[in-house]
Parts: sequence; structure tokens; C-alpha cells
Amino acid sequence: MSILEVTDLKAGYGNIIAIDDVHLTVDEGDIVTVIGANGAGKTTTLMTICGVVKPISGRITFMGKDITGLSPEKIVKMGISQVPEGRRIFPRMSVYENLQMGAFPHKEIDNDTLNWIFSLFPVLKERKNQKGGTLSGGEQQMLAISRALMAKPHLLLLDEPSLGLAPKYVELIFDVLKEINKKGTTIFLVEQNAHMALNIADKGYVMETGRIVLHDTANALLNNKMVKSAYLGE
Amino acid sequence: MPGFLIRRLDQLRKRPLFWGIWVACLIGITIFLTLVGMPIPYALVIFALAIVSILFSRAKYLPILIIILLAIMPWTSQDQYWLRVLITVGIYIMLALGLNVIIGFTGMLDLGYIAFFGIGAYTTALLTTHFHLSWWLCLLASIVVAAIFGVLRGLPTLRLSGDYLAIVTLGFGEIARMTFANWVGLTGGPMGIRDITPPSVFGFSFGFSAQWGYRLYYYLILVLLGLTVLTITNLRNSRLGRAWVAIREDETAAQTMGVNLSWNKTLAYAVGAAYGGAAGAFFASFNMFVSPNSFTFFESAIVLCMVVIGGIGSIPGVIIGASILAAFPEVLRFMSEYRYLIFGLIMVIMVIFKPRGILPER
Ligand SMILES: Nc1ncnc2c1ncn2[C@@H]1O[C@H](COP(=O)(O)OP(=O)(O)OP(=O)(O)O)[C@@H](O)[C@H]1O
Ligand SMILES: [Mg+2]
Repeated sequence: MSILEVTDLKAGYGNIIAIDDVHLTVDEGDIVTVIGANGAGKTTTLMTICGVVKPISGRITFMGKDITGLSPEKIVKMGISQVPEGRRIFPRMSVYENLQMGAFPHKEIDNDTLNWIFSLFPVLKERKNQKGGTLSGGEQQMLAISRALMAKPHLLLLDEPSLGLAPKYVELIFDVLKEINKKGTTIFLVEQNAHMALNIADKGYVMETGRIVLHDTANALLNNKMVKSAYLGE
Repeated sequence: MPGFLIRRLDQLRKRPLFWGIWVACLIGITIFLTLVGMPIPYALVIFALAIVSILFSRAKYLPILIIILLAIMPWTSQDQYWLRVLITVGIYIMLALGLNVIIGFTGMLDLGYIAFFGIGAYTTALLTTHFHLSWWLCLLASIVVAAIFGVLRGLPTLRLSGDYLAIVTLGFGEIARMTFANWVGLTGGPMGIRDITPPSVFGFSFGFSAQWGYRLYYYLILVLLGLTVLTITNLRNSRLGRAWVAIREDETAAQTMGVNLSWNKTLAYAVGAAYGGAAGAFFASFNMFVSPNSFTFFESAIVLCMVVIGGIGSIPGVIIGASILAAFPEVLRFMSEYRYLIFGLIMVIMVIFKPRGILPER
């Protein structure tokens, strides 16, 4: 059963068309990744699914409902939340307030979710009252993921969570993503770190200059010649 | 001795030079205040307020201590002039706290905030002189009318930010002032509205009385301020307040968390304007006279400075900023024309050395 279905999506900024003719299917319970170089249109795709960028044409369906052009508030209420590129945590709010913001669609923080997050990232519990902006880069990424989880999403979108992190942190983050997925959250992951992404994903899409140029199971992509030379550096 | 006080004294002991300079400054300010004519007891109470705030900054009962000190203050002296000054300072604190909701919490610029003060003042002035409504109803009406104008101004500007928002809010402030000045039939034009009925409780009028002086007004503004601080603190820690701060920090991120930008920004304008309206209602009946001259751009700019100098977003900071700047013209009265020069100089020095304000948001 597909949870997210993107058909013939076209979107951009003003006169600039950033993505065109994008088709994507994400099955419930899967980890699906989109890999691509700088400027390929990955962030634009995520932002359009979230409702921040308005599509020019095309259709987005989530759990059988048409969500094309809905406002971001409605979309997050339906169960899609995002870990944005560059984390974008609220720097002058405490860690706890950031989490409360994540839970904004539900009015109140859900204690089970909170405890689960603190077990995934114990450091956040220690830093509960610290200002978000004073966390290290890796901790901020953990906070960004936790904040998105507080919305109790069915579908979690992540935009380059490994960006700018030390290898140790990258591994930790990817382990946690697997664990989140095991708990039943479908994951849609945009990455430039193609190797790590394809290793945990079930399925992958390759994006170039605003279009999907290739899609296959993650294993097949790992062995694909073009992917190997362009994205895996082999 | 309670534990936190011991810890506090310990902190103070660890940095004797720093705190020594602080206390020396406070003593200096107190002496200066008496030199410019403030009754000695008032100056002493202000000194005590500062010391108590430093010593008990972590204590739960700090607000009670402050309230007690403020409550006994007007009985320590017969002086009416300086009591009037204190009341004026109270009005400015209320304005600065209201403006802080808009620029401090939500991060939107506002260069015409004084318009809401004016709208509140004229609402009360008109209702008491024409309809002889009870002051408390007038207060409520001023709050509601100002909030409505806050929404009206907010809606068309939701998509603006930066310079454009600055120009629109500035324009709104000027339009309000010009309306007060030119709609002679309603507002009395430049002559204003006089003989506004003072508030009364159980038929007991607040007007200047030989026995009470301005003390009743003083207590009224104290109560209004208490309510303002209480409600604004609660708002800041509520879901709505967090949405505002999230908008200030990162609009797009806030949006993806489910914050409706238009709705929450409009609410911030309405709530900020409401406090301006309440301050206006008090001002009208305290002054018993309103005219367009009280609502110039200069006033908007001063209130903005109070928020910036005190510490944008910080409630105690804004209170301190407003107290200092509101008292400034009175304290430096002896310098007549030069006082605004000094004012400007202090602003420049502050922005260079303490750009986030005296007591920044923690
Ligand atoms: N706010 C914007 N205004 C105008 N053009 C934009 C904007 N954001 C992105 N673009 C353009 O859209 C195209 C796709 O950008 P996008 O950010 O989606 O790429 P990306 O795949 O996420 O790249 P990266 O890996 O560098 O994050 C680029 O050509 C970019 O210049
Ligand atoms: Mg990107």
C-alpha cells in the first residue's frame, strides 16, 4: 500500500521551475531515498510535499487523500512532518520548547513519545532546559529529528540529516532512523550521502536538474553503473 | 537563611569587583535622583527595589516583595509632582510591554504603536464625556477597539516584512494622529477633548483629592501593570506565545510545525494593541485631557527604544528599559534642551556595548 503518491509534479519559485515531471511512490513502512547533486531539486520536492512551496501542476496524495496545494498546517496535522535542511531548530527556545513546538499540531506533548525520544537521544534529556542554539551541530540534528517525531507523523521527511556531521554522528543518526522506521514510521529521506542512504533504504530515486532520472530498489541502485560512478565514487 | 540566598551571596562574593561597581552605581543613581529633586524616600525605595531584585532574583516571592515596596512608596512622601512622574513611568511600562508582544515575541517591526495608545485614549475620552459610562466599561471598550484596529492594520500587512512593514506601520501611526487632529466633529481636532471624568470605584472618584493626591491613580496603574505582567508572562509560556516566538525565530520552520502564520501574527497585533488601548484608557482619565500632540511618531520611537534598550523579548528587561527611559526627561529636566542629545548618546552607546539590551531574553 502506498502512503505517498506524487504524480507529474511541477513546482518552482517565481519564474524559475525547480522540479518538473516528478513521479514518486512511497510504500507504507518503507524507507525511500532520493539522491542527487546540489541544486537537483530535492529540497524543493520535500517543501512541495509539505505545502510550503505551492505546486504549479501535478498531484500529491497522502494516505489516499489529495493534499495538493493544502496549507502546511493542514498537512502536518494529517501526519507528515519534516526535518528540514540545515536543521532549522529555534535557537532561542529551550530544547523542551522546541519539542513542544514539534507537538504543536496536538496541542499537548505526548509523554510516551517524549520518553521514547529521550531514550533514542539521552543527551536531549540532559539538555532539556538549554537553549537550542547552544547545542552542538550533531545535537541540533538530533533535536530536529526529535521535534519532527513529536508530531507523531505517519510519514517522516528528512532533508540531508547527515550534512556537516562527523562520521560518528552520521552513523548514530542512521541507526536511529532504522529504529524509528521499525516502530512503524515511513521514512522519506533526501541525501547526498548516497552510500549511507541506499544502505538503509528499500527503494531509491535519483534526481538530476529537477527530474527523476532513475528509480529502482536500493540494492539495484547500489550496483548500478551510473549510480556507482556519479554518486558512490567508485 | 534560605539556601538560594546563601548561594546568591556566594556568587556575589566571588565577583566582588563586578557587584561592587553595580552597588556603587546604584548608590550613585540614588544620590543623583535626590539631587535632581526626587524626594529622598522615593529614591530610597527605588534603591531598595534594585537591591531586592538582585538579591532575590531567583526567589518565588520576589514579585511580592516588589509589590510591597511599590505599595508603600507613595506614603513615604507628600510630593505630588514625582508621584505623577512615577505614574507616567507606569504608563510607559505598560506600552513597552504591549509593544514587546509584537516586536519582541513575534519579531515584527512596528513604528506606529502609539496609535493604539491614542485610539484607547480617545475611546475612553469620548465614552466618558458623551455617555458617562463607568470607567471600567470604558477600559474594556478601549481594549476592544484598539485590538480591532490592531487586526485591521495587521491583515493587509501580513505578507510584508522589513522596510515595507516599517513604512506601513509608520504610516498607520501618522494616519491615526492626523485623524485625531482633523476629525474635529468627533475628536475636537487640535483642541482635543477636555474634562474627561476620572474613574471611580463605588462612587468614590479618583480625581485629584487633597487627601489622597494622585495615590489612587498610582494604585490603579499598579494594578493594571500587575495584570499586564501576569497575563503577558502567561501568554509567553503558552502555546500561543511559543507560536509567536517560533515565528520570530524561523517562519518557515514554524509553518511546517503547524503554525498558521496569518492567524498568529494577527493575534499578536491584536494582543499588543489591546495593552496599548488599556494604557490609553488610563492615560485619558489620568490626564483628564487628550489631544493629538500626545500621539506623535516621537512617542512611538521612544517606546520602541524602551523595548530595544531593555532587551527585546525579555519582560524584566523591557520593564527596566521603560522605567529608565520614561524617567529620563524628568530626571534631566535641568538640562532642558540638551536632554534629548544625551538620550541619543546613551542609545548609541547601548547599541554598541549592549546590543541585546540591559537584561536580554535568557
Ligand atoms: N527560494 C528560492 N528561490 C529561487 N530559486 C530557488 C529557491 N530555492 C531553490 N531554488 C532553485 O531551485 C533549484 C533546486 O533547488 P533545491 O534547493 O531544491 O536543490 P537541492 O537538490 O535541495 O540542492 P542541495 O543538495 O544543494 O540542497 C536550484 O536551481 C535553486 O537555485
Ligand atoms: Mg537541498
